[in-house]
Amino acid sequence: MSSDFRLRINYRKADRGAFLSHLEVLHTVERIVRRAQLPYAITQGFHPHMKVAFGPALSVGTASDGEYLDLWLSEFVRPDIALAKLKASAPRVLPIERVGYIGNKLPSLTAAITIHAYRAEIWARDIEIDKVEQSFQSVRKSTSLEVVQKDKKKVFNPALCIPKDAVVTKNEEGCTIDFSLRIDQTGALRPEILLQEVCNRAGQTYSHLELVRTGLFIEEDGVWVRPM
Amino acid sequence: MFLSRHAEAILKAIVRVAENNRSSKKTDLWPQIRPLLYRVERPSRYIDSEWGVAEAQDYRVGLCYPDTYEVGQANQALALLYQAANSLDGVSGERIFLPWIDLSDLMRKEDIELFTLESFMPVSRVDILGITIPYELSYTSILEVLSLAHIPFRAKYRDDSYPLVIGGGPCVFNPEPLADFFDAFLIGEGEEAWKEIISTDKTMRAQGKTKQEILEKLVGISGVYVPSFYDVSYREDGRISTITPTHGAPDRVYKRVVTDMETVAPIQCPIVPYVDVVHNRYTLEILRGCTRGCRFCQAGMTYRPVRERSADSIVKNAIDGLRDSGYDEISLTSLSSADHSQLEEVVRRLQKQFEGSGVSVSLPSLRVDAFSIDMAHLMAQGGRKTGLTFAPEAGSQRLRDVINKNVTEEQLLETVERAFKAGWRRIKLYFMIGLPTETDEDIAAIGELAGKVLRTAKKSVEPGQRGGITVGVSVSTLVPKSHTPFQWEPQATDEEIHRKQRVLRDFMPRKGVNLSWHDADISFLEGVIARGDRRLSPVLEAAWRNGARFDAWSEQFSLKRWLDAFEECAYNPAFTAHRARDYDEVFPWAHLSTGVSDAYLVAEAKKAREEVLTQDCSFDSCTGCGACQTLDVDIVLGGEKRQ
Repeated sequence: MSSDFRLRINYRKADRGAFLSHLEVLHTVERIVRRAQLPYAITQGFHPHMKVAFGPALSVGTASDGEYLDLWLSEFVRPDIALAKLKASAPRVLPIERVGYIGNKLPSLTAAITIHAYRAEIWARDIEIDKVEQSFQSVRKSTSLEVVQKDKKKVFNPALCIPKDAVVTKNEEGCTIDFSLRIDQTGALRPEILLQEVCNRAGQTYSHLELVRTGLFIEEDGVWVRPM
Repeated sequence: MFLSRHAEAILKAIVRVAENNRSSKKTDLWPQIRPLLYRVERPSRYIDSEWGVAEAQDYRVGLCYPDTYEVGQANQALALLYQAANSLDGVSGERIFLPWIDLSDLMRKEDIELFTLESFMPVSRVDILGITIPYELSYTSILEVLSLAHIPFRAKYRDDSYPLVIGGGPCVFNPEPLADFFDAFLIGEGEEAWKEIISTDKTMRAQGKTKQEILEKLVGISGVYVPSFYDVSYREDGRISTITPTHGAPDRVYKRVVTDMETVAPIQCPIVPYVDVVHNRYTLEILRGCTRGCRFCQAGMTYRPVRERSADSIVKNAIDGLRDSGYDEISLTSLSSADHSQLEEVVRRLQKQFEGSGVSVSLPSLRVDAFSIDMAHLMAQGGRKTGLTFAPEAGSQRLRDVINKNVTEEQLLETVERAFKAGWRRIKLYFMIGLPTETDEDIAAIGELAGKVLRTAKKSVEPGQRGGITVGVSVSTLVPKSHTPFQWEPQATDEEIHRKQRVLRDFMPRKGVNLSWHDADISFLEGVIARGDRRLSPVLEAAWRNGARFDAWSEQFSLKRWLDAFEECAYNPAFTAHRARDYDEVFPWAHLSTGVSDAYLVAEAKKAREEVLTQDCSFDSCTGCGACQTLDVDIVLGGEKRQ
């Protein structure tokens, strides 16, 4: 409804929250909003429910430093008051960071966000980071990348879906890899699948991998902009 | 002889492993658990951090539900006892669930002990451990909990450094098969007694008292049963001869009962799970007890008398609970919610309160009468008409009279007609087979009744809508339970049940009825455990050693493990399940009382044979069961006591 107030909410999937599924995050956010007693708008139809739209899903096991959702309110609530109420109603693994009203005509989060930035912690004490870096570059420069995701073969164009080279840093347990992926209508390359491919090609093995999504961006004339 | 020595050796090995691990004093197992969570299904059930969890205090009360998080977290009793523990100064609750097989196996491989959720501490290091005993088929899961926690199975092998292990819940009215594994049981309603047990243990532990001294004190708390304080002797024919109290324990332990529901808070700020648990909604218990008097029903005998919360209290608690939890659904629960004397008022007030908010109100069970349909209609206003569920339990009027199910065929068909005219298109009917005095004609009557329900439903809707009508018929097997008028009855054998199921299938309409029945193997085992005595404990342990755990999950259940266990222990399960008892037999639970007199149960058993009905004392005069007088408690309707 055009008369509703569209509140964009920035939250994190912190610490143990990494183990929540997208559906569990959805249900938890709805409960946070109800506990906060915000005047949320209700969809029309046979099964009326809270009017809320989420950004791109995050897989189980992946934490995030910055996720977004849009919540429609039926009455205006001052952003500082809405933020305070939401913060007080959220479990510690899904902390609410910022809120702000945005225009109702702006595209949805899933349509607008195309860049997903990640940080991977890789447990492999003997890892050779030069080889990992070179392998990443080689994968990125290739014209076709065939991977198996959810038991299905998929082909991606690395030149399009890997916008930058990775930054690989050695640490005590192994290494940290900062990288980003571009997601469009052709599909989403899963970050853990990409890293597995990179390490395989580099002849490197690891015992364990943990992922954090460090940012979500909208591309505007070649510039990466945060959704709020 | 060889088997018992073998079992003893295993137990001693478990004790040694446990002692070694306890001495290592691991306090936070999260760093060890965390990497495993990337390798298991639904890891969010192991992360704690939900809304509503309590901060850890010095004295930690372990509250265990011996099944997965999804089943246990939804359990109301556990939530009430968690709340009761957290209400005490310096005390906090620590939830414990049985990890699913993928994580359990990884934990065993990595030698990681079972953990509590709030502090991720080893379960063996909580100050007191309460374990819910929800169902006979959960017994091997209880052993799995103790094993994963590195706690010796048998109470006599646990020294003072271990927490007291206290059992509670629906199965404690015959806890004898588990008697060797628990230090004590809490018989009956726990909100008040649990706090008394915790306070006693906390105080006496601080004073350096021994486990034995604490148990001797605990038997003074109403509802507490310490099995090691009773000696049981047996006759040559296998029946029990005597049950003799020792250590100053009472001759008979009477169940604990809350006399006024208004004095115990409902679940105020429940833990709100991330995972989609089995009942994912705010639940509010609106009444306790049911006196309809169905003769097969253990809950109907053990939770007497009826005590309602008042309408004002229900409405206030519902508003507060939904606000504090953020749920969008509330369920008004009890053994028979439609029996609440002010239910219509409650539902109307709640619907007015939550109008336009997307919050829905639900009832878990309905009676077969017109009031229930009016109520269901009221509940469905503005929402979906989901399936209706009714339990006639028997197909013929004669057999319904035997079991004291005060429902007539006319009432059922009238209810069906009204429901389908009001827009419902699905109905499910619950029946039982293996009932006392049952004949093949009674079984055939189930099929005939299902056919009548189907025809009535079809007649009640427009011809174009008749294709969408579904009648579900679910048939379970009677498992005679302790403390019921059928406790003397033999349970039907597997062969007999399979034959009855074939008769049932022959008489069931071929089209329009979906027939399902319970696994006869599971019912048989449930029956053996339900009326078993202390001699069953080695069998439980042998079954667990054979791999039994999560027996209540049908895909995990294997009768062979149990049959092997019976054989290993030279235990004849038919003696427990299929034998008719004399009225003067000493039952394994003879020293435990629900308040209902033995004379009443005998009278009801005889009335069943005579096909004579007994009325509901909540609405008619006292039927003389003795619960109110024995337990000094009154029926409470609409918040007012009825003498």
